[in-house]
Amino acid sequence: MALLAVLPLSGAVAGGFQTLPASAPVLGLGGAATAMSRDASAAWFNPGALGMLDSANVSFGLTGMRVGRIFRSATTQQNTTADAGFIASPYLYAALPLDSAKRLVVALAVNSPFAYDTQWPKDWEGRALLQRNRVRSLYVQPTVAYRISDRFSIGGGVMLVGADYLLERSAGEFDNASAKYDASGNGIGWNVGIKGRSGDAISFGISYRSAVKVEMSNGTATFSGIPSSQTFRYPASTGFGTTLHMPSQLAAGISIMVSEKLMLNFTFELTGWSDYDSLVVRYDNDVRPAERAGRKYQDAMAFRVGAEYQLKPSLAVRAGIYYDESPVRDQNITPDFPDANVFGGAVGLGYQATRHIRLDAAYTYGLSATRNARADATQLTTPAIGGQYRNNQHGGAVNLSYFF
Amino acid sequence: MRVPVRYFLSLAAAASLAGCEPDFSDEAPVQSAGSLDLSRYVAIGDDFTAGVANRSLSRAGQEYSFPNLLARQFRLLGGGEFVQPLLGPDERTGGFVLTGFTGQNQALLGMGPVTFLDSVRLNAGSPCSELQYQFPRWSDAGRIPNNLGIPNLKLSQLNIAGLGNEVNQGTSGYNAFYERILPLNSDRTYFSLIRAARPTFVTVSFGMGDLMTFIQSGGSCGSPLPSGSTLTAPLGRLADSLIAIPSLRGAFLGLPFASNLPLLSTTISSLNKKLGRTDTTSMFVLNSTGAVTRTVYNDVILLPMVSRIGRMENATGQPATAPFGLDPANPLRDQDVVSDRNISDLNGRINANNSINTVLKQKAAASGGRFIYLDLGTFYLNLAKGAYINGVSYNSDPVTGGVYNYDGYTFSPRGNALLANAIIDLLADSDKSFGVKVPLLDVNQFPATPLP
Repeated sequence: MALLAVLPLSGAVAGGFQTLPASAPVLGLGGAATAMSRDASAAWFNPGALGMLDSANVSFGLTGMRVGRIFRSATTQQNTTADAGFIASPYLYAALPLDSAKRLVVALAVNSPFAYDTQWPKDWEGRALLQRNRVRSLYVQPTVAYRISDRFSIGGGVMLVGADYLLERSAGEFDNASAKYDASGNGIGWNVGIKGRSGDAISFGISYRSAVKVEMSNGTATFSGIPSSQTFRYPASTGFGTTLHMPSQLAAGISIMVSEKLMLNFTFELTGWSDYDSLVVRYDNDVRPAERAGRKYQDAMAFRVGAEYQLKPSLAVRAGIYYDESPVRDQNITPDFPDANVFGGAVGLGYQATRHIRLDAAYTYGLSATRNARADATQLTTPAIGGQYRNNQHGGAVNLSYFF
Repeated sequence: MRVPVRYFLSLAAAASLAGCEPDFSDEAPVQSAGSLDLSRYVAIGDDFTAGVANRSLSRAGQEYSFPNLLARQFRLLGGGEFVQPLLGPDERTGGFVLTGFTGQNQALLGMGPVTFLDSVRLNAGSPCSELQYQFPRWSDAGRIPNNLGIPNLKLSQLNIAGLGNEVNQGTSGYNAFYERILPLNSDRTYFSLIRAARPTFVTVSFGMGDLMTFIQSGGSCGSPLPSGSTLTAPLGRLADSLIAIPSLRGAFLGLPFASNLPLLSTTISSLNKKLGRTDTTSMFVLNSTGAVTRTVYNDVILLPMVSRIGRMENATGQPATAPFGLDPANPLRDQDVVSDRNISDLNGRINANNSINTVLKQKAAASGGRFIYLDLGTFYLNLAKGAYINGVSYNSDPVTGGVYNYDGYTFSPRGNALLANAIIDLLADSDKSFGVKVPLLDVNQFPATPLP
């Protein structure tokens, strides 16, 4: 968690609360990178592919994201636009072959694969549900990969995960009262993968990241502006515990060198959101009844296709498209994360500045269909407000890679 | 190192071109006045329509009256100005105020100030005496307000000439608030005033005010309970006269069962259970003949007394040596208890053959679709179960439930917003006749019940 304090990680994007692919070259390809061994980012996208890396490498950069959201209330027919700030997620990958044949590679991946920060105006219609909800995560993954033969390599890593949670809302039972929930915690998981090559032209890769349960037992809930006669129900400050579920992900992809200049990548992902049944807030010593917000997420698929064309010896152009399914069911669309299926496109550039240095940049735009949220006044476990949501998202990334 | 700047610049340009926000400009909001002409909405009724809250009329109560909230939404659909005969900012007619809480977090109530000093008391000396407040004349008297809700207006008074004439002050044929909105010495009847207002749309809510004198006095005043016909005959005549106004459309508001109101929902048995007493059937009451008797199982304790039960004090809060209501030495008063038989009589006046709801239903059915009956029974029933609205939980607790006032039957501002929304929903439900789609109110934006 100390690391979290230094790195202000955040972001919000499609496919549940996954952030953008944390690498500018990969983002430029629409996220299709499971079978690619381009730089040390393979440690994250497929530890198996890391075994086929040519040289020691450090890659770092930043992805930036802007999610636009608008809500139209089914009751008042009023539109509310969410406060969309620009949010940035830095990442760092380093890989070092240990032997002269470069068969054994150790690597470190640091990134923020899950995050969101949804902010609605303080006085909007759903203010008693939510004014702001933020989840941040930091994954630190020491990794080792081994190339068994020229055509096959395997790899795996341990994911050390820190995450924090913030929720602010008005305590709408009273005038001018508010509630704030703050918690953080740690978890652990693993990431494994394989990569195979059939000749020089075709590669395939499969990777699997485990789910990570982040136990947050040290949360603090603060209630302010509560009339003093009611503080027995809403104490000024109380501890609480909750658990965040970071989902597993299975990815399979192929990478085809169509010609010397043109590469085509395909990736299929299945993200195991279905572990995320509900978010339960349990107050210490039961000072308040536990609050259970139904999530009932379902597993979600994503399809990604990317292409890279070597325009000049030092300049590559990239493009990709993706379809990223939302894990959020119709009956559980809530203002904390009114997610929707996203169809997106990406473009990118890679510039080999020197033999050692490569610069990359990428831009992506994702469009979502309208989602209808229903609210049921008799249903206390779905913190929903009835209406329609529309989202869109712009993202960008810049990257610097140094090859030793 | 020559960075290919123009390629990176064109990437940035692509990013800025797509920098638009999502919007709903392609979809118009769902709202329509349908066949209603909302240019002159007039609210017809008694205390509830006028904005009486906590047995008190005040400017805040008027501003959050359900007709004013309805009119606010009608304005989104071309509705006209909604004029109310507002009191001054600090004027109020007494009523309940919250004085604190018991150790068991039960609310304690007291009476608030009356700012109209020269009031006349009818039947002075009797426990059923009634105060006729001396309201200052409305500054726009002569103009006809849109809110024709008149506190304390009885169904039997709808066609009485001189009801608003000062010369009748001190008699039962006089209503001080009605006088307030009429010009000096006007003999105009209430119904004639409605016609003169030339409404295009009306809501009609009557009946509860007629029953409240009886209810709030535990059956000691306003008794015997008016018979069914005493209530339904004038109400039916009012409905007929409204239907006779060409092209007028309107809604008749049904009443809830008396027993669904928090004022009347505390039975002896439920309270005994809550207090953990082994005697679950009875408490002690001093009846009108001066004898201390036992209550029965389903008798109802009026809400303002509920928090005093078991405390070492009497009905007026004076110290006592025995627990209130639980010991023959410190009994409840007759006016604090409504017998189970009276409750079923009340429910019969509200919703049975020859009852208020039935006559309204029949008249609406015979209006050729120009008037509809709004059955609010489900709305009141759901309040008793509790509701969860955009993150705020509402229930029928009169202090912390957010819906009712301390009196246990009028609504807080949020409660009135809920009622206005329920009316809007029911108007839309009957879109076969009106085809109206009115945006609902954001209930949570209205003031919460103030608590210490």
